Amino acid sequence: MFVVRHNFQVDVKEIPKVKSFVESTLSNWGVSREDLDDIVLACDEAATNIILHAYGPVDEARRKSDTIELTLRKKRNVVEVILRDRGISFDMAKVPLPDIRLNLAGKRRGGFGVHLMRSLMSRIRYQCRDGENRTILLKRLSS
Amino acid sequence: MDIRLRDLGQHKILEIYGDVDLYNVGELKKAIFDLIEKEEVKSLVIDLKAVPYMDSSGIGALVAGQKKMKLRGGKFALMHLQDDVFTMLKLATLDRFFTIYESETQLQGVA
Repeated sequence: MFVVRHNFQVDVKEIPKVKSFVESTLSNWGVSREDLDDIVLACDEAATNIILHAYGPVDEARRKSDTIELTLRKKRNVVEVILRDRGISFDMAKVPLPDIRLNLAGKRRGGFGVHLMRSLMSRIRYQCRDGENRTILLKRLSS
Repeated sequence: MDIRLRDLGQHKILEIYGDVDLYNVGELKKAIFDLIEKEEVKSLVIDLKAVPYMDSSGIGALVAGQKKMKLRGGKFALMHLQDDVFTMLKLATLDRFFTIYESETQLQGVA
C-alpha cells in the first residue's frame, strides 16, 4: 500500500499545487494517464469546493491559520483521496444535479463541480465529525 | 494563463493559453466580460486549442460569458477543444449547450 499526505493553505493559489501534487504522486505510483486525469480533476474540484464553500464565509485570519490536508492512498487497484478541513460543513451529497436552465435564469450557481466528481470517481462520501470535514473520493482503477 | 485577442472577419477570437482553474479563472472572466462590455462584439469565439485542462470554475466562466453575450443579442462559441476539455464538458452535460467549432474553416462557413 502507498500513502502520502500534504497540507495546503486555504487559498486559490494552492489549486495548481494540489493538481501538481496529485499528478506527480499518481504518476510515480504507475497510475494510467486516463485514471490519473480523472483523479486530478476530482481533487481540484474537491479543493475548490472547500475553498469556495467551506471557507467562503470564513474570516481571513482563520483561512490563514487552517489548512486542507490531502491524503492519497493506493491499495491494489483502488486510489482513495481524503481531504480534511475545518471550515463550514458542506455536504456534497446534498448538491442536486446541475441544471443549465436554472443557471441561466440566475436561480442557481454552479453544481457542475460536484457532478464532475461523481462522474469521474467510483464513489464520493462526505463526513463531518467534531468540527472536521472529510471529503472522501474513491477511484477503482481501470488498469 | 495567457490571453490574446484577434479578429477573424466578423468574429472576435479570444485565444486562451494554459490550464484554467479556480486560481486563474478571474483572468478569463475579466477578459470575456471586458470584451462584451467595452466593445461592440457581435460574435465572440473562445479558442481553447492551447487549454489542456479546465475545471468547473472554467465552465462557470464560459456559461456566464455565453449568458451575457446572448443578453446582448450576440453569438458566443467555443473552438478547437482538446479531447480532455471536451470530455469534461460532456460529463457536465454542456457539450450541447455551447456552439463548438472544430476549425476556423468551419467557423468562417457560418453566416
